[in-house]
Amino acid sequence: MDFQELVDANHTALYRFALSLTKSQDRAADLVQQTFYRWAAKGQELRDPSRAKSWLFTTLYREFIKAHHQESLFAQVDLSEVPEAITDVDLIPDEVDSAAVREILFSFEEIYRAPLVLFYLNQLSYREIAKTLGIPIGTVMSRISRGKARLRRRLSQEQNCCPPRKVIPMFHSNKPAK
Amino acid sequence: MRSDEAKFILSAFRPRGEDAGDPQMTKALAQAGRDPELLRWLDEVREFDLLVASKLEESTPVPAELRTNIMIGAQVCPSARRSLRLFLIGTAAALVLLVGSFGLLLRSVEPLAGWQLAALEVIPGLSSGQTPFDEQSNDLRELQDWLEEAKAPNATTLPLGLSRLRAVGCKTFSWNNQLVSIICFGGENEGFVHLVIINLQGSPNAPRLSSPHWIERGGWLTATWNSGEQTYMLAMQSGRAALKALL
Repeated sequence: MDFQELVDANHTALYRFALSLTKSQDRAADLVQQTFYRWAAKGQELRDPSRAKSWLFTTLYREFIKAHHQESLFAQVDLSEVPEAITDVDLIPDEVDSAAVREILFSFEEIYRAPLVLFYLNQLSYREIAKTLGIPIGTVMSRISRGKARLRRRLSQEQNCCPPRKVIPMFHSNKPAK
Repeated sequence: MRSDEAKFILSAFRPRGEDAGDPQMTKALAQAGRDPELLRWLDEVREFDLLVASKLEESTPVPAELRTNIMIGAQVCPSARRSLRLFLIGTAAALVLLVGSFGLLLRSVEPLAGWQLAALEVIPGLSSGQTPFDEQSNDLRELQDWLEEAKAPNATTLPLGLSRLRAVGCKTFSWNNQLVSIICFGGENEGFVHLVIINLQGSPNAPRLSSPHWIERGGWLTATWNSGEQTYMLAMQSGRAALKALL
């Protein structure tokens, strides 16, 4: 796969993942570009071309972590607030608002947001997600399961209480003014 | 396998069935095949997941210019960092030897200074993509920050025309034990423009921006001027009119 094919096949999913991490269009675009530049510099040394996609997601996530190394990504989660993971499906919202889905998903703590978004992007298996995020497979499964339960609950609450959002709000750049 | 174990595993089952060949999933799916209630649960979960996936895609449009920016950036991006290091080490060694041995001779026959010649050795690689930048960004401030951290010469003032161009990346190299910086800008139609910066304190007879020193060398047109304690050289491959428009 040449560089252009690699970009065409992966840049949209990478951008969406980056957007979920940074919550900023500018920073997400920067992160995606930086990831492809890393590929141009080092990725072609990868022996197994089938791992290119996984390499890109892993590199993007590491770049994000590096840029936010001062933040404690896994320290502020109160697991007691997380609902039971395995619940029976009692409700699938009829009219799910796309803006609400994004807002709710992006409002989750990073430890749930990252695996859930990767899961819904349909690009990586749970095993690949575990490698990308550097966490055990069981933890990924647990977070996906709990995250989905929480998402479903929030969407149901949203549907019961709030009218659909009419406009999809765009994120503003949150680059610090220099 | 119990039903709750299967549910736990199948929660990570991608709704379009991509994971059907995974050993754990295969077992859980087999369990669902034997358990109608579990199968119903799985169908509903998959329906929900497909819905969320499509809504997520719908609500996160990708900027139209992203792909173009990646491809443009890649043109000036490294294809082999290792070969760059070798290239730089070789270039630096050759330059030190060259300048050390023949510096006086060079000065007598060549109006470009040693650091300018060294820069013109590095710049073609940056334009062709053979040489990677040390830092890449379209935000000039980020490049300035990076240069400041690297304690490399920094652009404290920019000609107005140049400041309107989009920054692409920066690079530093050592010449005569002195750091030299290059900031690369993306020209609209003129290709890339390279601003070389070196700290030359007390340079006598240095030209000002109002009357830069023009020299053409190896297909590169350069304009050199002084500002404060820094000397700047702008290099591009287009004609003098295009370069002049940037000053």
